[in-house]
Order: sequence, then C-alpha cells, then structure tokens
Amino acid sequence: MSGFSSFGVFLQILINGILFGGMYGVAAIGLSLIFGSLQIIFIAQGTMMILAAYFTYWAFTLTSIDPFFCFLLILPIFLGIGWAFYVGLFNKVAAAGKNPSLLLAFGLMILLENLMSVAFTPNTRAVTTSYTGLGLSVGDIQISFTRLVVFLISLAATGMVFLFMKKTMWGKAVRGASEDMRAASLLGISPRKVSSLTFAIGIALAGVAGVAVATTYPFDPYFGFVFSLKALIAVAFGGIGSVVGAMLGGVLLGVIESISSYVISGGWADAISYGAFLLVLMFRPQGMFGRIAH
Amino acid sequence: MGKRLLEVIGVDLFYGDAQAVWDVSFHVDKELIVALVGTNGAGKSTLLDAISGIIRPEKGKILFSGKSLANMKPEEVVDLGISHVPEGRRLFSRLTVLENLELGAFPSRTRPFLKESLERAFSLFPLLKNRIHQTAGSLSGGEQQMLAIARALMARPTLLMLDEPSLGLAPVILKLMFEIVQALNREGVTILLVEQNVHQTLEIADHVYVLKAGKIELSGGGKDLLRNSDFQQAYLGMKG
Repeated sequence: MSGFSSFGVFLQILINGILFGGMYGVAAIGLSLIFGSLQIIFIAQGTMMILAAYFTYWAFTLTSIDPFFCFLLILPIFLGIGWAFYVGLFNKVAAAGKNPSLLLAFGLMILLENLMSVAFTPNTRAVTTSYTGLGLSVGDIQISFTRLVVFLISLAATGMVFLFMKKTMWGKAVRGASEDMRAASLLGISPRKVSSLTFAIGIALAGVAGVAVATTYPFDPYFGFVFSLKALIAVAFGGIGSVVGAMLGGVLLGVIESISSYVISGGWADAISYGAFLLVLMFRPQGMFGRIAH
Repeated sequence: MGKRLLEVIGVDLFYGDAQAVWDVSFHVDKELIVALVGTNGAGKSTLLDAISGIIRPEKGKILFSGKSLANMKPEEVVDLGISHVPEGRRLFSRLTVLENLELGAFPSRTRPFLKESLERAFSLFPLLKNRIHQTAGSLSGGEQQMLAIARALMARPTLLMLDEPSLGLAPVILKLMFEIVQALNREGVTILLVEQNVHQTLEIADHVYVLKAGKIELSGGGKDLLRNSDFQQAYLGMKG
C-alpha cells in the first residue's frame, strides 16, 4: 500500500471506484444482453444513457420531478424505445449480419448526439437537488448520498434482471434463444418477440444508468460515447451474456480507474483501463469470473 | 379416410440455390411410425425442415390434419401439435435440464400442463430426474438425446418428428432409443422418423419411404422392405 497515505484513503478510493463502477455495470448488462442474444454491438448505449440523463434533467428543471422518482418514468419509456428500435430498425438489418447492425447503431449514436445538441444546446448540464451535496461519514470515509442511492438502484436493477432471466418463462426463453435461435423457434418461441424483448431490456438498463449519470455528474450530448466504450470493457471483463458478470466487470473497471487515477494520475486511468481490457481479451476472452457469473 | 395426419404433396425444396428435394409426396397416417430413410444428402432433414416451416417449398403443399402449413412460422407449427427434434439435438447447453424441459412447454396451449408434462417426461426418462439441475451440456450423448425427445414431448405433440435420434449413440443406448420411440407410439403419438440406421428403423416402422438424391425411390411396409431383395442389396449391403 505504499502509494496510499493510509488505509482510510485506500478504502475511500475503493468505495468511490465501486460506486462509480456500478453505473458502468448497469450499462454493461444491457450491452451484454443485446450482444449475447442478437450479436449486435450497440455502440449507442452510452448515448441512450445521455438521452435518459436529459430526460431526468428536464423533468427536474421544468416540473421538479425528483430524479429518483423520474427513474420510474424512464423505465417504461426506455423499454418502449428499445422495443421500437428493434422492431423498426434492427430487425430489418439483423439478417444482413453484424456489420450493418454496428453501422446502424453508430449512425443512431451520431444522430442522437446531434439532435440533442440542437434541441438542448451543447452546454454542460447537471442536476442539482437539495440533497446533492449530502454525504455520509463513516470514520474518515465520506460517501456521497446520491452516489450511494444510485449504486443501490443499480444493484436492484441487476437483481431484477437476474431474477427475470432465471425465474420467468420469457427470461429462460431469452437465455435459450441466445444460445440457439433456431432451436428456440422449434419450441414455439418467436424470434421476433424474444429479440425485441431483449433489446427493450437492454435499452431500459441504459435508461437506469442515465438517471445515475444525471444525478452524479455534469454531462453534455457527446458524453455518451465514452460510456459505451467503458461498458464494452466491463462486458469483456464480465464475459458476454452474463448479467452478474457485467455488473462485476463494471465495478472492477470503476475500481481500476479510481485506484490508477489516485496512484499515478487522472490521465493514466483510461490508458490503464484500456490496457487491462486488452490483457483480458488476450488471456481470458471468456471473462474474468468464469461460470459462477452465469 | 380421416386417418391422414400429415400429407406432403409434390414438394420442391431448395437450400439456397441448390435444389435438395424434387417433387416428393408422402403421407403419415395417425398413430403410425413412418420413416424416411436414405443416405446422407438424400433430402430427409430438408423435408422435416419444410414441415416445420424453417424453409418454404417452392412448389407443392404440406397439409396437417387437412390444414395447409404454407406461410407458417416454426413457432406456429409447433403450436399446431408438430414437434421437431432437429439433427444434432440442439439443446440449450448452458441451461439446466429442467429449464430445457420447461421451455419445451413454451406454447401457451401447453403451458397449463407444465407439471403434468414434467411428470410424464420423468416417468419416460427416469435418468433425467436425477439430473434436473445439471446443465444440458454436461450430459452424456444418450442422456442428451433423451432430453431432446423429452423436451419436444413437453409441447404435447400429435406428431413427433425425430431427425437421426440414433446418431452417435452406443449400441445399448441405441436399442433403448428405438424402444422409447415404440413406447411413445403405443401411447398414441404419431412418429415421423428420419434415420440412417436402416435395419432397426425397418424393424419398428409401419411404413417406410426410401429417399435417394431428393426423390422417393421406393416405399412400403418396414418388414416388407426388409425382405425386398433390391432394397437389401442397395441399403443393407446384402447380396440378393
């Protein structure tokens, strides 16, 4: 621990990393489900987060809807958007292979960025509530109230998706179809329905992560791409298609970033996380957590 | 007649640009075991795929209980009562045995009977009951084939189509497999069996169609074909 002035500082940095990483984790679950089932690299995931962040911002600024209550509105809206994206766009190009889907997602990202920039101006926004500055002190350690709530919501979202996948018929159908869509259709599972459901859940999780961004960080319309990259790294850490793995991957990435920016410097945090990404792809392409996370 | 369950009438089938089946007609009567035999590439699996709605005939008709299956998707065909165990079993290997079986009862018509169907599956395949929480991928080849058949039965089919159920099985298991097929048939399930294991198939089949290069070359009762000398020479490697 020579890089840390005390164990308390180390713990503080670890907690910051875990809380921040929860946000990556939620976005990553969505990305992982969409890629695992549909082989679509949905690079616009981060931009969808920013769209949800704007939604939270305007709901708060114009109608004083509490951001954490706004979450309950965003969930059904983003489920709907996800469903519409699949049925209206991705379903039509899915047959053509992975690259057209990636291009479509990329185009969607650019389109949304610019629409948001025109509609909301490129200015940086932030949601400041009466409780934004609140913190909890445990000994020497400070924990931001909003970040803690955001983290707990992220965990709850992960738990809900996990239970849905394990316990419900449709959840099992999503998992089965991600292994073998043809076999699933022979059992009566409609590929179109199961794919649009997967996409809807993935986008709804971007919505959850977007509320998290809005309440904890300033953002602008172009802030999303970095989140997509971070979520992709978290997916690689966690192993594709694994709900718990993606969350753990996000938390791990948050911790790596947090520690490396303290020990070395902020500029190195990205270099180190991308470096870790490459190492994982080279040596553990199935993810860090193996079978337990499935 | 009222006995016709499945009728395939003059179908032409293509895989991509290549024609795999030429003007094939056959039928399956209720409560029988009907088999399609022939060498690899004769078009047997292609016919099953067409019945399931995975591929569409360029020409011809497929009727199930007198109803045309044209333009039906696989998920709709299974809801009518046709279950297809595809070649290679295609289990969900990362899902547990129980989850695989539950998904077999996915159609809303069959979901209310989930418990009953599970009990029936375990009474037919007692081996599976001890493995319900294992992943399907961890089962042996024979167990996987049993699970594939059990999963298809969860949809309570009137017609069960089995594509090469004996493939890769040890002789003891293979014998058991044919016994199970007969047992299911005695319970009233109509069977359409695709096999390369000609000898055993002929022993149990009520009617057999022999396919060669996408056409029906010969047909008849299973036991009759066993005694037919042309057939013996061509398919059983016996001198007439």
